[in-house]
Amino acid sequence: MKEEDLVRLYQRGVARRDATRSGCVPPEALLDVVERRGPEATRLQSANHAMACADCREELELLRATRIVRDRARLPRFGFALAASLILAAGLSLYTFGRQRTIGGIDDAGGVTRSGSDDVQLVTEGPVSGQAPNLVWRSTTGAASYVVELRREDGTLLTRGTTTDTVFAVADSLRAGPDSNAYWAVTARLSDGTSLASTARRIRLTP
Amino acid sequence: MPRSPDAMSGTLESLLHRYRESVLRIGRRHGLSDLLLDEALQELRIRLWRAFPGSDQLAAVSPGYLYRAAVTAALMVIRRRRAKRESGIEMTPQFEETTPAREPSPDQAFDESELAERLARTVDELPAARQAVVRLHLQGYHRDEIAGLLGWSEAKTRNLLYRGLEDLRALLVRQGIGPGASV
Repeated sequence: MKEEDLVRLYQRGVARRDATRSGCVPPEALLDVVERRGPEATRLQSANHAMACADCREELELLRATRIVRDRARLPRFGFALAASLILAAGLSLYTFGRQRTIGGIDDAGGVTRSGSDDVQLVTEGPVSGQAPNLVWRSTTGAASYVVELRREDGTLLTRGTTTDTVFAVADSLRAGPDSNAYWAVTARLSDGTSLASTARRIRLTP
Repeated sequence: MPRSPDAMSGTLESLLHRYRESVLRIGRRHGLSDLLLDEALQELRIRLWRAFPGSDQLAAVSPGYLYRAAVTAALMVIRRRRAKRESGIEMTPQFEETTPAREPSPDQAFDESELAERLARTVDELPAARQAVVRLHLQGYHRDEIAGLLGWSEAKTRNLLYRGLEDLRALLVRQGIGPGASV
């Protein structure tokens, strides 16, 4: 059965069940899903019910959309350069003062840009070389373009580029010298004029 | 010095308008109706009006405060809506338009209906985590949205979705609903 048939049939099957539904989860349980509170098993149970019940799904969606608007509103709106600098400065501070952390721990901190939120998800990590020169990130819903910044550990800007794609190739000239560490970050510019930023991630530039 | 009611009203409406547009832009794709959102906004409007009587602070209300107020308002409206439903006072009936891509024959409509019901029942058999990701996917949520909602990494979400859909197809095949099922 094709995916589109599965989707259509599932939605039809769920709609038929709605008429006889019972056991709706409390509104607070839907909020727990959105705010990721409580045991995962309970949250999954609530999410599963909501996805099989049109009313609960709509209620969950109201809470989910409210949460996303809150998360987006927490982003700095005073320009990409300053926002990126703050992100990188936070990333550098973490790196400088917390070398005991693993490389992945910089991202795990979550609070580098804003606590618990990572609206633009970076994919590339580790070495960026001639064989693998691309910085890759995941697409963001509603993004009109992305601004990519690559900085040295001391904060010096190496390159900045704007693209509508989710890939950015690091030029050979930036990898020409000896191996060095750098940070990269992406800001998604949304069609509604707001922006979403990634956390800063450390990579190694190699020829 | 307190602001005039007109200025206060203008600030409040501007804030709520921006908020409404943002919430609706995100929620409409997944079935959030204007009706429910507007009820929640009316509740929020009253709360903000009471909390900031003629105050300039309203224009600079923090996203954190607005979120808590909006969530409280949403919960109030959801509870009220459920109470009405339970007491038998149904609100606006749902006349959801479902235009089929093609007009099915009566036999085909019956087959589809039966298939749809069996599919919905089969999804119930999946383990909770796979079930959640499959349900969200089948309801049109993007992988990033699923990962965000469930608090999982993209890789975990992708993996569970892949396995969940594989399980679902296997269960359907066991019931005789194979890749060639006519729908």
